[in-house]
Amino acid sequence: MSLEPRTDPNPPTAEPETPAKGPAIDAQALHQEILDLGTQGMVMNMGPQHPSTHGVLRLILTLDGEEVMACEPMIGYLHRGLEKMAERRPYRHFLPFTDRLDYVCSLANNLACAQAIERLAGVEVPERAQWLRVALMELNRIASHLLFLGTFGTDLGATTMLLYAFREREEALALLEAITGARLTYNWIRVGGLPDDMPENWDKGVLAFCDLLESRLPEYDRLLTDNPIFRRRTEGVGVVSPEDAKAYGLTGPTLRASGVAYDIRRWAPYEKYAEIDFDVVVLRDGDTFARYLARRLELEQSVRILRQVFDKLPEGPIASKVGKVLKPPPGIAFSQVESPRGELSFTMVSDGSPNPVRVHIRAPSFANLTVLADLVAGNKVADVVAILGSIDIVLGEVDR
Amino acid sequence: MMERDFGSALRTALAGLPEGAVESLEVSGSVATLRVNLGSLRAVLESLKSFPEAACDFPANLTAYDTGEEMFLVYRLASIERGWQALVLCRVDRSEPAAPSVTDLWPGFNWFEREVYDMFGVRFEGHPDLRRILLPDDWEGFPFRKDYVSRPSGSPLRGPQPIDRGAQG
Amino acid sequence: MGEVSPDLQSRVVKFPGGGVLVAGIDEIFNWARSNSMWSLTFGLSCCAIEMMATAASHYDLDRFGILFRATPRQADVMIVAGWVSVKMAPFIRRLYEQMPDPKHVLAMGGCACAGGPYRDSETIVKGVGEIVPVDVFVYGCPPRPENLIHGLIKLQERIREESILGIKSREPITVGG
Repeated sequence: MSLEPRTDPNPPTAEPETPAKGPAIDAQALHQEILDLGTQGMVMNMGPQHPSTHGVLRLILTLDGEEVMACEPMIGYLHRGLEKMAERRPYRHFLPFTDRLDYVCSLANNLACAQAIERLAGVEVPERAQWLRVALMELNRIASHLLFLGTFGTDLGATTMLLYAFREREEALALLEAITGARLTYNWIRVGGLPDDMPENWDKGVLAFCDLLESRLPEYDRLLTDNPIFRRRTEGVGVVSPEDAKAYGLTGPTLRASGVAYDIRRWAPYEKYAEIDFDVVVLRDGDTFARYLARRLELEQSVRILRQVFDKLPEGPIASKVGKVLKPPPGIAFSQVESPRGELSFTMVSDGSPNPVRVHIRAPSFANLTVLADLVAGNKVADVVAILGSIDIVLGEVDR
Repeated sequence: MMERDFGSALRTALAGLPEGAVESLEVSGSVATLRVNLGSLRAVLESLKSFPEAACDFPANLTAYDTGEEMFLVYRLASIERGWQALVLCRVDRSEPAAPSVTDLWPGFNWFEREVYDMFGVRFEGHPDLRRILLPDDWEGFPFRKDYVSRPSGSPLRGPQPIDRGAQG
Repeated sequence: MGEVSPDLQSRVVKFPGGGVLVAGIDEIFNWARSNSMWSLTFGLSCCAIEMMATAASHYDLDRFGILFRATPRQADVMIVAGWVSVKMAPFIRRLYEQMPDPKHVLAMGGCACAGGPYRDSETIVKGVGEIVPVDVFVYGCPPRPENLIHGLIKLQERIREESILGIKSREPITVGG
């Protein structure tokens, strides 16, 4: 190989018609040939093992350079057939399995399942249990949103946020462990109430945690909300209009960030939410930043709810008596719960026997994920991660 | 009263449909339960969405259930503005289950219809991409049907896997 | 780096200059490997959240030298955290094959160990041990972070007993059963 500097015998000029050397070339034909070459999209596989897909989600991206032309999500890598397993068991034996659906907010699943059985069988829940269920739900909502803040920051590269969010999350998990005995899969809601009352001074612990969290919120804002790089990566990315959001069946903060005020706690109040004073966080922009901000502001609302619960908590039984064998009358009933991801709903069909005929789990992440394919088209690969993170899915409930 | 308003709104929306389309209509609180026949399913759902009296334009849920003798589709449509929701039940033929697709009305039901096909074998006519969504593509049979028989494969890398019945709760 | 005791003679290979070299290299390599176990980010489900909590500020896996790498090419340990479905199984096998030697597998949680509560599901493989060879089983649903750290320390002890000649005990360790 020669070490002399190589000169291009045909340096490109502004007008391609006149090459510097060589025989005369039909420039028009050459130009047309170059235009006819055409380009192909590159198909790239993202997942199922990927640090940013929030579990086992596989995205088949067709790329034109760095721009995404099409995206096909493939799910089912965590499918267990839980709904079929429910048909082989008595109603209440299914409750421990529900923890493992949306495993970041297990109590929401427990509550939705128990509520569906209660509506099907006509079981009443005592007042004290209803108030405590609200407290448990909101504490779990805080834990879930803290996990979202941490993982969303990590997806975009702001890894510090994960450590800060988990620091507070450990406090919330310690409180939940004090009452339920478990850190993640609580299984602490029963048909008719709760298994046991709260321990001594648990309410003081929760209120102290509320104060702690409020003091740490400015730190999260310094790290993410007011961070110019974070803003540049999330503002204007993945905008969903309110009409599209409703047509796709989005729920939860993903929907409320697009301007639609649909929160089951206000729309179809369950437990004691009708007697609690709180705001539903609705934002107008519909972009990734709005979806993030909706969850960040919901932290404050959950703290507000928690503070009211213990003022109004009455004395009384913690569960109503339900017989040994639960045989609801034939029929169909459904429950609706506002989980941190959206509307979680269990539909149960009974034929009078101890086992259900059908249990269907309407998972908010399953419905929210349908918008991803149309939303990422036209965006860059880096935006795919931001948009997916902002929808906040948990694959356990997508696949069931 | 919510019940009365909702009931009359539904009757107005469904007035234009042929006789026998809606087999029964009950309203309890803010939830209406309708039983419709398969031939009019699409017309009923379109009316519920487009009539401003009913305005049930939010696709809340779509599933199915099989009792062993009958198979039903269950749609749940909500009206966010009015605060009510309609549960629509429709029987499908259990031996050759098929139904019209509503993905053009609600793109959110695309995956829900794929899941009902995956688990029950219901073919949704007009669906742009009807294939399995949760189970592996080469799975045989529709597991949520009551007559489904599991035939375990020999390999842990392919399904179905053997079931340990001693582990039932 | 210490003297060659008689019970190490069986592992010693005669080099020009003596077998002391091999035993010394083993100790150095094992010290380096056990104190920098880079784990593949392979959280499948609920146990992954507890694995993240173990790695985060409160329990902190970084003080053991354990950090998470997204690509199997740079990972020493695969912590299978969550249930293994039939659709996912070929990917787990492929990821295991893509990891360079010496590699280890830690099955975290009841599902990865033996199928967990899903033993009557047809789409769940009853334990990741049916697909890849497992070194440590950590039971729990999900196992507490302390349990996972216990399992990882047991894995570190196992690594310290290894030899660069490639002789490894394949008897799995069970923690928290």
